[in-house]
Amino acid sequence: MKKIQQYLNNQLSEREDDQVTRVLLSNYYDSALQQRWEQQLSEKYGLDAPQKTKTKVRSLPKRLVAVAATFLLFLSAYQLNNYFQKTTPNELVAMHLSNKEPHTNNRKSLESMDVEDARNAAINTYVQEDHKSSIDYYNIVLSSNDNTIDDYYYQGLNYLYSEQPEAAIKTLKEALKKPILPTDKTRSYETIHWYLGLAYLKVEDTASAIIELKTIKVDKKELVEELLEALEFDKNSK
Amino acid sequence: MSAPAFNLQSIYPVASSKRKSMSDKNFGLTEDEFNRMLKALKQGDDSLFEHIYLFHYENCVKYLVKFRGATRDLAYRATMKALLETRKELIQDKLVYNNLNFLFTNKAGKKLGKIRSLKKERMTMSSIEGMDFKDSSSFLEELQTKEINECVSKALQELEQKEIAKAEKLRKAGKKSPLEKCSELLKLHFYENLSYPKIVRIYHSDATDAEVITKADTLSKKVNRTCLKHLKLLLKGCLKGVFDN
Repeated sequence: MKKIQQYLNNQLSEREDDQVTRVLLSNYYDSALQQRWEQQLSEKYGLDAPQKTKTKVRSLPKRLVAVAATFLLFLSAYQLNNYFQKTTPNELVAMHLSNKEPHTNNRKSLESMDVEDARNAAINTYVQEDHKSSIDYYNIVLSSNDNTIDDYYYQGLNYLYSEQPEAAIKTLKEALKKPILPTDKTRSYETIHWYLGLAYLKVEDTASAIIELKTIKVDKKELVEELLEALEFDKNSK
Repeated sequence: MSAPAFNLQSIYPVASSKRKSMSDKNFGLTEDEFNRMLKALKQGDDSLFEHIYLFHYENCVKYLVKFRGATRDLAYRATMKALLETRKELIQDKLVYNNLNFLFTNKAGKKLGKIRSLKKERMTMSSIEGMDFKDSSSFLEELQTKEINECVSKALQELEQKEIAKAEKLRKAGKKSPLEKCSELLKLHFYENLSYPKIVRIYHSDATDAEVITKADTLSKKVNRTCLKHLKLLLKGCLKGVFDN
């Protein structure tokens, strides 16, 4: 009840507010659409949705035996002890991607130049975590000749945060081709190699991910070492 | 005895040859047919879904029952959820004509897994004595109930009626009402997951890139400051009643 009150009084964070609105509207529109389809199919073809069948309930002794057997199976597996202690590469990737990189570019005042407007809007929407909109704005910037390593870098992050790792890989590779100018905020190519590594892991291309991670010598060194170790352990335990 | 299953064989005979053509892998449609129906879907015509349902539903349910041990009811629910999600992804151009049968069945399998894990969580929580299920379940899951749905339905209907009344008032005063209605904007952005620039292009297909940026910014402000504010106001009374009971 407290959360719903906070939602109705605009006291949730923008992200939570957005999530709640999406769930409320999705649930409503999905139910309405499903009802409409079922009605149409019923009218046109005489098809009716299947009746609910009662699920079989196993007896308590049988359930207990099943639970005990499963427990013993896991207990006798030698590797399981190590598995629970080690964080898997996928968990590490998910953890690193949940800590989002802040956008450090300065927001410029709205000029009459289209590319600047688009870049400004791209930064604004990135900061608001509206990555889908940010992607569209950055596409306008990247289609012009006036784009920088920062534009490619943040576009790559946009794709990564909106679960489009293939597009992220393509964009971050383009970023690596751009020079780092004194006016750019991207500190080094190593940061780009880091996110490229994470993107490769998202598409399960471990070999390419390791190549990217091993390129890094200074930036995020401890995180790189941890991830490489987890990948090595994962490989050996298969 | 459970209700008889769908009898679709008379409508869509299942292909028996082992070697499948591209159309067999894509709901029995050629690429042209698929693209034509997809275009119609984006304009509100659901014929593509009627076709997918009739062509692939039985195969999908059979797969879930035979290989994933689902009951017919669970298989139906999972398949329906997959259908709804596939529709959204097609509108967002996230799926292309390739091996859609496989993608769809795979999706239904994942939905089945999710339904089962939610069911298990609820059964585990409710069987622990003295533990209030509501305290431990996710807040977002709690929002997906019939009563809350009815509140949202009422609120959206009222919102739409207010917009129609306002448009009529403006028309009588000789003024133009805005093209973009709150009820539509909320659906396009929060349900169909379209970004604001894409929404602008739906309403103003010939806008230049600069115009798209400006209009998208205006739309975003309208949704956040006006539409959501109205929706929450309309939801307040109804939702309070639901949670008080």
